[in-house]
Amino acid sequence: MESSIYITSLVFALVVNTFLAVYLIRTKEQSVALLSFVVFISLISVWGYPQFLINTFNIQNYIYTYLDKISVLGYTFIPVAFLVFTLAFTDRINSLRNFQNVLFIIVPPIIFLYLSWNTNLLEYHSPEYIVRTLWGISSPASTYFLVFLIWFETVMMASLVILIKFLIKTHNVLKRRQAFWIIAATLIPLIVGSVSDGIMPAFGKINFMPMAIPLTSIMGIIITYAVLKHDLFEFSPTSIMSSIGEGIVTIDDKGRIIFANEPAIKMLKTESKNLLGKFYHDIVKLRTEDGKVVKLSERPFNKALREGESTLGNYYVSGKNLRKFPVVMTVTPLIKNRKSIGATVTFRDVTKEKEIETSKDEFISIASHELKTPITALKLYTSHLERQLEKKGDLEGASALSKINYQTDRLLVLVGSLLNVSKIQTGKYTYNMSKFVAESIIKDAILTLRPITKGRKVLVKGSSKTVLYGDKEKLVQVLTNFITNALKYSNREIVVSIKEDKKYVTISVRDFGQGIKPSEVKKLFEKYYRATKDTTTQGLGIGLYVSKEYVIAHKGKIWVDSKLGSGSTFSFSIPIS
Amino acid sequence: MAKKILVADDDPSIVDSLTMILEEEGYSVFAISKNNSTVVEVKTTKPDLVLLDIWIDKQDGREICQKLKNDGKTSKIPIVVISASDGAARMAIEAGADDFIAKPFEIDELLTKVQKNLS
Repeated sequence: MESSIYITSLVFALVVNTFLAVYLIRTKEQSVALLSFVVFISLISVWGYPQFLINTFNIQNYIYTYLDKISVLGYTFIPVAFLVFTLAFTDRINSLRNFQNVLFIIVPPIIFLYLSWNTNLLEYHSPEYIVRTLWGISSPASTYFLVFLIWFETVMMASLVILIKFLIKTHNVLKRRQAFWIIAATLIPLIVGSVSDGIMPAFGKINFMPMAIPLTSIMGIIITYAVLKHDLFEFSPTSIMSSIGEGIVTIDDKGRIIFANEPAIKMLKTESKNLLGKFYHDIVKLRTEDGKVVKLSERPFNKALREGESTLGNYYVSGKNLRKFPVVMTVTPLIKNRKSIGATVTFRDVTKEKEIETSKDEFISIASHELKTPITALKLYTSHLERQLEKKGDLEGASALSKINYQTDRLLVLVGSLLNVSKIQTGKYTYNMSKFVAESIIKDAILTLRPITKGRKVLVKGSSKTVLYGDKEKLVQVLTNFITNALKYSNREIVVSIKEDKKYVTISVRDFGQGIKPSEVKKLFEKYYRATKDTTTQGLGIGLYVSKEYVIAHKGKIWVDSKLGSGSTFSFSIPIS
Repeated sequence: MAKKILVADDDPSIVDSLTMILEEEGYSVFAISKNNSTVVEVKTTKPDLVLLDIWIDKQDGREICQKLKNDGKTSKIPIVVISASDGAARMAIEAGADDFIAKPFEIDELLTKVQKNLS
């Protein structure tokens, strides 16, 4: 009677396990966790089916030997599969990179399998003999088997501990629910099994029915429930990361690659095996945008590892068999217990964006050149005509032409500033360095702006006869930009001042206009930026950007102090060499 | 006798307007729109001054200056370069040009420079 219950439960469990394995492998996304789990439940079947055959048909002959060997094979590797599954599920699969760990997991079952197949050392390897030995009841059970059993339980318990720790720590709700079901499935058989097979014999009930097989199968059934009900293998982080369009590479604290998603592998034109375990800095070389190789100590991943610092930047990536390509790269440290234990590098190929940017800059450059020629011709014709009319005494005509001339000049200034931006962008700018007296910048700027400052009060305060070394024309342009802006944004007088200290000559332009919001101050020096909602004043929003570039090229500083309602002061300072 | 000025530029509108302005001032102007014939043209017309417009990326302007200045027959003819780019201007001066006018310019500036280099 007892035997028939045992066989029924065994058959039921094995059938469920078989279906589960087939179901999982056919319908679910492939992952290490899933595959190891399928192997785990398949091993239960490999263990169980021969037992079922032996018990049902009471097989005694040579077939018994083979069936028994197969059964032992299944039994032996169950903990290995379960541990691998646990590690994969809890994202700790990398601990298998440690050789000692692998030895501990793989060597005992291999030795055990060898001994049980080839010697008679393990002749009495059924659990009841072991239990007898454990409880001091004499039995011929093999010490080898005892050692193996301790290993078996240790691995299973270790897996369980890993799962429980994971359950407590994880913030991933889905994963927590899944972990709960896996633990429930593992704990129930473990407790029931150890009571029935381990403790009961101590009270003299030795002729028990071994419960291990049906219990292990129950474990499979509970996990099946969790799979179907709670999508046990859905949304694994690895699969999510593979579906992200950006390249993701994770490195450990030594700088070795421990993870690379599909887009990263594709972008680096390699295979997973050529990345994992290799040093990241050997595989991926970085250059800055101006082509300089980024030194190892300056690499963003190094900063992330040493200082726990996140960085975002534009680089060129190159490597073996890899043509360099531009990327936007973010490197974030992985922090554990306030220490960097690794870093995650995210990067996106921006070749297309770069091409668009370059062709845009080229377009602006060509367009402004092409524009400059006809405007210059236009200006020559109108100036010529103006002079002619003046000579003839046609003052009305001459005045109209003078206005046309003025507008032509404005067009030329606009085209000129577009050209300047494109020159800065394409790095074609040349600086004509010379020595000059600091305050001559102000004189020149005011002279240039005479037509625009007509009727406006421009006060000059201070003087500086210090000799500076730089591109005077460009610095005059910076000041011209400041003054033009001040005139544009306020109706009152403006004050141009110059002062110097030991290190710098500083030139400022103060206006009494509406002032600038603090939130906008930072953006002022960006390309194409114009004060928001300001549609009345003219300009392309490049004057201050160009000014900033010019001043930086002189190793100087440029800034603005502004108070909403009471005006702004734009300043730049140039170092005295 | 009116002084002869050779105006060389890629763009016909610039050549035309410069010619108009200079003729008005009493100069005799020869205009060419193709740079590659400039050297030959200078040799045949023997102008008193060459007004040469050069493009930012083109080496032609520099080459023309060098050829003219290295040739004994033309080396004494003053060359005034017109350009929209500082870099090109410096290149031309290095190659032997006598003066430089930045685009855009006022007529007065042009005439002053022309007069200065003719005397």
